[in-house]
Amino acid sequence: MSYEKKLMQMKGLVKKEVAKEQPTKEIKEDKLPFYTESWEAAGLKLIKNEHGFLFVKETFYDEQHIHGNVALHKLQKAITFMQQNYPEHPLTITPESAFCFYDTETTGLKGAGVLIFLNGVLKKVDNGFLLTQHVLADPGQEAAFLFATDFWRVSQTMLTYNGKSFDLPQLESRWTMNRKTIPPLKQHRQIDLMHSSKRVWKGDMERFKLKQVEEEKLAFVRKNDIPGHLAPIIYFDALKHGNPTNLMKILTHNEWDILSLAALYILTVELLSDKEVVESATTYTNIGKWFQDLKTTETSVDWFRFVVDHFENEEVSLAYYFLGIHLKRNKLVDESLHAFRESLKEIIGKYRVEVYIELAKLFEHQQKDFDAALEMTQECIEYVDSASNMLSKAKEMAVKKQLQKRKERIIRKRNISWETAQLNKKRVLLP
Amino acid sequence: MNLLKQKMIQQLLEDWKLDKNRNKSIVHVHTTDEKKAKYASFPENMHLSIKKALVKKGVEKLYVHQRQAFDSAMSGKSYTTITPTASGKSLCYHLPVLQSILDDPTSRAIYLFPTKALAQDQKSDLEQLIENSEEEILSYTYDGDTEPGIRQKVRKSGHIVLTNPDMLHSGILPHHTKWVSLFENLKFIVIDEIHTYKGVFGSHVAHVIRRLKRICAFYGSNPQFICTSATIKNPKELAETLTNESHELIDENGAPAGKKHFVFYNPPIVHPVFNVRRSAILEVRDIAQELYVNGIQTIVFAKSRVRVEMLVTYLQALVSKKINDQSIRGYRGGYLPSERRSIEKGLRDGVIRTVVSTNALELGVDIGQLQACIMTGYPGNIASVWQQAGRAGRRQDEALIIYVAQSTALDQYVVNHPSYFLGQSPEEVRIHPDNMIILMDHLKCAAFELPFTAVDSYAEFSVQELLEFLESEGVLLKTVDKWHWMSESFPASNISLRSASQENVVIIDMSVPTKTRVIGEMDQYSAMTLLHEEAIYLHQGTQFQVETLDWEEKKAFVREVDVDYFTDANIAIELKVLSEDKAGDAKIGTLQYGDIIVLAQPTIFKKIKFDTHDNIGSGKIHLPPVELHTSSTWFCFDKPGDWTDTLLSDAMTGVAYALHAFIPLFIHCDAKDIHVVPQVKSIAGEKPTFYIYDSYPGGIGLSERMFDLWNELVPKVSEQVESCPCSSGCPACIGAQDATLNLKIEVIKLLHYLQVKENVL
Repeated sequence: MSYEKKLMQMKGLVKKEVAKEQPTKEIKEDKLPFYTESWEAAGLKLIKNEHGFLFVKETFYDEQHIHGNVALHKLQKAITFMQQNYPEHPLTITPESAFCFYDTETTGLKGAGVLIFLNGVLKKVDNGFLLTQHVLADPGQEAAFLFATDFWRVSQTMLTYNGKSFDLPQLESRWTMNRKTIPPLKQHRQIDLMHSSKRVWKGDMERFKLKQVEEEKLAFVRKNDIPGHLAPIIYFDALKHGNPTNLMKILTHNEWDILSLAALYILTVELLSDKEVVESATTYTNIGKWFQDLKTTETSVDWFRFVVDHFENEEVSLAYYFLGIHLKRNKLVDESLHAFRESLKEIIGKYRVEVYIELAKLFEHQQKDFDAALEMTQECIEYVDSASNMLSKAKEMAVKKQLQKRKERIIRKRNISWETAQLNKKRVLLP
Repeated sequence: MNLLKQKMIQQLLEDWKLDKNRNKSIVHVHTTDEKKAKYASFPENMHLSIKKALVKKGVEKLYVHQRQAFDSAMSGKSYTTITPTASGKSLCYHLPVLQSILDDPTSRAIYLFPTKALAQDQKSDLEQLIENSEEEILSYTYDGDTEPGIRQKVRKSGHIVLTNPDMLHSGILPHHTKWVSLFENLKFIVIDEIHTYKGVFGSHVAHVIRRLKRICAFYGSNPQFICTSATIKNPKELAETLTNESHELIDENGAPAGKKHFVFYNPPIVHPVFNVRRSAILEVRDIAQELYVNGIQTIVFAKSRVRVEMLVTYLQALVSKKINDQSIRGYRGGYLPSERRSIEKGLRDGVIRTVVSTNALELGVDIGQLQACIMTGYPGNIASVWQQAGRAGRRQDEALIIYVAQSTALDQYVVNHPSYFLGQSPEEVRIHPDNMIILMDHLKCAAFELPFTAVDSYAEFSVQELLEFLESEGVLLKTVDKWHWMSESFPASNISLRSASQENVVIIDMSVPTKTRVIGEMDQYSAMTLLHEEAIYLHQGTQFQVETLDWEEKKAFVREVDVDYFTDANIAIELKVLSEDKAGDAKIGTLQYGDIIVLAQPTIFKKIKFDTHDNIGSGKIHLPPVELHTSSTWFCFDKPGDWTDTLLSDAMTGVAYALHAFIPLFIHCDAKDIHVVPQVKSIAGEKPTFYIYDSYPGGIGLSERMFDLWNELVPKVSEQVESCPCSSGCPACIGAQDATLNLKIEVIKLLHYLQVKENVL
């Protein structure tokens, strides 16, 4: 029977009532769900608080734990390095507040009807790390589930993967839904390791799913992992039928996510701290670019120099470009000319256009070498024409227009300078 | 300049009286006199900066209705104002809303407009008022076009959020946790043009409002409602059903109005035997040409998109010799927003002299003052007549309104009974929030937004059993005291407020293969008959032929063509009875009311030549059927003994035609809201049956009223058919017929047979 048919048959069930105030009494029954025993048998612990109950799983890792190819004991060193060298950097965990690695599993993607059913938090404890995973006992126990975290007690730094646009907004939304019952959520500082991964490995990796980062950078391969998108169905199923088998696999999935967060943090900081050739030139150029965007120019220049000293051919062309920009800003005309020329040897794509333009500018305005400026401009025009679809249509039009103007101006200048030269010659000759 | 214009309209009327041909067609001219304004002083407690802003705008005092609105708002009441176009109705809500924000800067307000376009239009009006007040009040539109970058700001700090019901439904309510400061401090909900919220759309919107109120209650606010409506019979009732809240009615209009000439025009009979009149479209074309030549800025209303495009094509012939002439334009839904904005501006600036529109321009889109309005046929309801007429002479000018009747029964009745819309009160606007399917749709959305407790009701509905049903469907999960959403899906995205079918068909022009472009969109139901393959689709007077219709992907690929015909499609209907809820027995049969399934499938299309309207070819349409679950009243009767099936079938078709034509007069609905289908042998009872059913899924209460009115309907229809001057059937009574069959007599016989007065149904 179709849905509509069923609805039609239910017509009689709809009753209208005169609006009357419903007694909104809070029914507080601590009736435990029917699956309590089987979930406990699977390794979850039932705990109670003043707002109800929830399930919890705690896992301890000692200092020596290794995730993928990263030893977790190096975390402290990484944190200290950032605090001492780059106190303002977005990756720096400030010394005054507590921190945790945080990841959620939810029943959907958007909207007020989506629940968080698993909060996973990894914290540093004496002699190791403690992972606390809270599981929503049933949707009616949400207040107890949220209250069990310390997010309303302590303001802290939360390290996540895509948490800025997903986990934290979800958490805020759930808190709002329970605002009548539990104390307000504290403001937390966020470090989103997806953002830092994109900064560091842009151009080096194609996709930035945590799974790709794990496999390519952490040498961690998941075995029998349940894909995250199945989480909602598995949780609903566990509530309906009580069987926790798949739910426990989701906990493992979440555990791996969080361990990867810690490992990823360590790895990223190591890349920023050790100037050793373990990654591609692109990565180190990205790191230099990142520091440049953070206005820590000296550090960024160091990185670009590291790239041009340790790599060769096309790998160094982008670093040379950035170096050139930096040198030009510092009025080191000859040095920047050299850098751009080096860059021009191999660079391709839209940066090649930029290099041509920079060279043309230097020749035109600094060197007054209009022939060279014209040559650069002309080559650039030809390059733009030859490489279709490199720029968006609008951008391509703008660039072409700009180049044409530059070309005309240089030609004009060249002619004037030629005439002036002639005039001067005459003047010299006159007496 | 002004004097000259007025003289022209008067002169034109004089000339028409002397012109023999024209004069014959003018059935009646009704002139309403100028009306003086009624003023009231500014309220004493109104903030000085608001007064200042009004004075800057040139408003030194309020109209009485604006003052009454302000006072009602200040006393905490919800209210509805009915005011015609251009009566300064927006001040009825702007003033109290601004006042409340100046009293307390944390106050918030939501403005709901029926369309995105109207919200954007009203924003400039509001912004100007705020700017003149020199106060820090932030107003934003929030719709699909809002930049992601400023959404956050709108949510947190927008004092006034201008949006539409669709956005509220799928973009705001399901994400209410992001709008805490709005919902906590919501003082006013303004719903503009509530008369547009009718039928199935209105029923959906009624639920969106109920969900909104539920969310407000969660955040502890209890906003007042301010509604505005065009002149309809039941504005208070409609507002109360829409908002589930009692309203005060403000219906005294203080705005002035100019002199208006209302001309009832019936095209001449060109074939007396068949009572065939000249096509209204051609007649409108001629009148519009005359007005255009005389420099009178005119709006022409046509009922369908196709007609709009046909008229534009005809009229543009006038200026075909001028290069790039923009003075004659079409306007309808389906044009892109930028195109619409430029047409609106052209009308205000006076560059566009004639615009041909569907009812899209009935609403408060600001197109300034036009001098004349031509209606091609009766728009289907009186409220629309006044809205359309209001487009002419908006600002105290003398205005000309011409109603050109078509040859349909309804139109012929109206043109010969001018009192029908001059004297009579306008119709009711009905919504039916009880519609099961609509109710369930929104119950799901509401459950997603905020769990129901085990004792909650939803607005006026007690819903615990329905929630149980949703649990059995696997959508909800019940815990100790609450029903929780337990599905991955996001319910609002599967529910469209505008129609049963949610996804529109996008129209893509591929005339130039390298430059394919989207030129418009259309709802699925219309697309079945207008965008099937080989259909001629008209857009801004340009003809396109549909090359491919990708029904799965909802895309129609069209190519520009130049042909001398248009296309018209037929739909086949199949009916199945689902349940019988009410029944009444008569001597010859049974009248029943219940739920049915309708399967609609387009079958063939015809190619019809312009001007002569000859049929010059046809073809098959290959599209899947569209299913409709709705409510119906049907009359199933014993076959009169001496009739052959063929004869009965023909007579029933005639009766169905007449019934369908007159039902809108009895229950004041649009002809398209209701269908009448005859079956010589019904699937259910093997007997001849007439089905009358609502056009919308779940029904909106129309056919249910026909169950009660059946005994009045049949004699009235019979009377109309008998008094029609034609000899053997015409479009004004039973539809055009082949004269040799003499079917009209048979139809009248059957109508007499169906009169079952002596029996109590």
